[in-house]
Amino acid sequence: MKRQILTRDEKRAIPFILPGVIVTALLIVYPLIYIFSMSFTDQSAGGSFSGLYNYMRLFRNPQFTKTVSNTVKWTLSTVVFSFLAGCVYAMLIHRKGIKGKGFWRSTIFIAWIIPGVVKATAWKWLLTTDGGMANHILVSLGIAKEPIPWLTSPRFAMLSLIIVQVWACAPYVMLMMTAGLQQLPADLYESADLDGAGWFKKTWYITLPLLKDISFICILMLLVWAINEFSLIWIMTSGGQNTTTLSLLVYNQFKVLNLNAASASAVMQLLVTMFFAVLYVKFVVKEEDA
Amino acid sequence: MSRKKFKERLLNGMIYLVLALALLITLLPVGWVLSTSVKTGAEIFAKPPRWIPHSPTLANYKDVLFGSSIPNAFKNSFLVGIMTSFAALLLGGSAGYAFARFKFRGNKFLSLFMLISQMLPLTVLMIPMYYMENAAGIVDTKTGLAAAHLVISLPLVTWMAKGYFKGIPKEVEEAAIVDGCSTLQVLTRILLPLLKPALAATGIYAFISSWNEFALANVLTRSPQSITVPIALNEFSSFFKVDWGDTMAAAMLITIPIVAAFMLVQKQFVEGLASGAVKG
Repeated sequence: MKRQILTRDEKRAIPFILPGVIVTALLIVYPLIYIFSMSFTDQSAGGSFSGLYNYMRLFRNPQFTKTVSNTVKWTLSTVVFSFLAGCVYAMLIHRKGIKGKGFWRSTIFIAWIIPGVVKATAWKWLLTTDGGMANHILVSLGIAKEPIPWLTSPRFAMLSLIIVQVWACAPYVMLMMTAGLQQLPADLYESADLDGAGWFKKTWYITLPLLKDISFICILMLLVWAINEFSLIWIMTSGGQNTTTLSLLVYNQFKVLNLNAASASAVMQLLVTMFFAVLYVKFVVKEEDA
Repeated sequence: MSRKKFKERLLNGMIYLVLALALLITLLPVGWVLSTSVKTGAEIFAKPPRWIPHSPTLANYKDVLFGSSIPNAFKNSFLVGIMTSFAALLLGGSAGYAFARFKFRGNKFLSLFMLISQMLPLTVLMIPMYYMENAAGIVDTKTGLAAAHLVISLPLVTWMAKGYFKGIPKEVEEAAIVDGCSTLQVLTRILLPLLKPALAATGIYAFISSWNEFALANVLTRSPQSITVPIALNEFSSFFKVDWGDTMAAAMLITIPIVAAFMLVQKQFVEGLASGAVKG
């Protein structure tokens, strides 16, 4: 039998797959190679090879160190609080005897659907220091003594952004977790009831282990979104008041055409995001093989 | 027994209270946008701020619809969204079909690459993208932005389409082939009609992500011929003296089509979320 270079299936797949692969190569792979190789050249000297010089300079730049710490703060707090809030929503809505489950779910989910720019603009207006509705509510309820400079002081700016991101992302977690909760086998709980297990035991020994996978997905997505978030921060604070995260740094360096720094920062952001993305993919592969 | 019932009721009551509070917090910004959008200039800065305007007006909407960059941006956003979702459906739909149905070397690698691509930071892609489009002379054009948005929509559509094609049992196809259909006929006469609603929903979802996208549009568009609604809205609120009434009316107008489109695809969207195919 003659040896074939391509199998029958491969020959059939090529016309379907090739156009997509070419476009992906052009729009995704090539740009990644581009930014990667750019980071090893000196763009102010006509693009000559400069080794790790851009990275050395970046790591010694106090602005970069500050950005990394902002990014860590932003990412950890938004992920943790979005996840917890979303889980609480989901558990409350899922509870037996709570009516209007669909109503609660879809109305809370509105926060997630709204276009990002609208979210950011609406909150910017809501959090205006002087004459903003948020301050009016807080002052009239006696929670704050005087208007809080939400977006214009280093003390509150990052906190404000975190609140908005949690507000927007908790509904996503809620939706994922309620989907997970609905798939739990009811008979497990019935037999646990017969054995006299209380709410805590049922949650700890049945619910949580069974929701491990979906929680893992949620957390990874929240991590990647937090690291990559741009529009919310850019529109609300423009990265001022200690709110510059990696995304903003890359953009700002690019905007002033400091391409040496921008390309090195971009590669750093890429590496961080891809670390989590690879974890996610490994998980998906495990699921598919199972 | 009745004591237990009482405790149960009390607990449920508290849960309703917490949920109502969550709902209030969720809707607070939405309500404030709506309220501001129907206020007169004087009332917007009234002290203390009021929820229900004393003299509601549609003047802000009139300003936005007849005297601003928004209608034009609407047109741009619409065309960019149509171009990108159509291209993504064509390219990604067929790639997804091949991933689901054929065994070939690199299948797993390529399809996982598509999955990973959805998590790429747009701020990283925007730099090379800008120079590439500049070299091609398509910066600040709708086509250029639509091409850039393929970065988001192509992986999304491919991955979702792969799932849909996989969901159809192979026996369906085998039966058709026994009846004398060619592979292509199976695809056009059986699979595509079956998956039409799912693929349409995916296309709408690709459209929504293009409509909402800010980072790339912010770099790749600048003049009225290409700016999309997120950019136009951001310009509203970036002026030294922001006209919040107009801004919020524009925000309402931008959100309504998205919420409507979302209602259409809610089911597929939630499934997509669960499979990780949705970009935030």
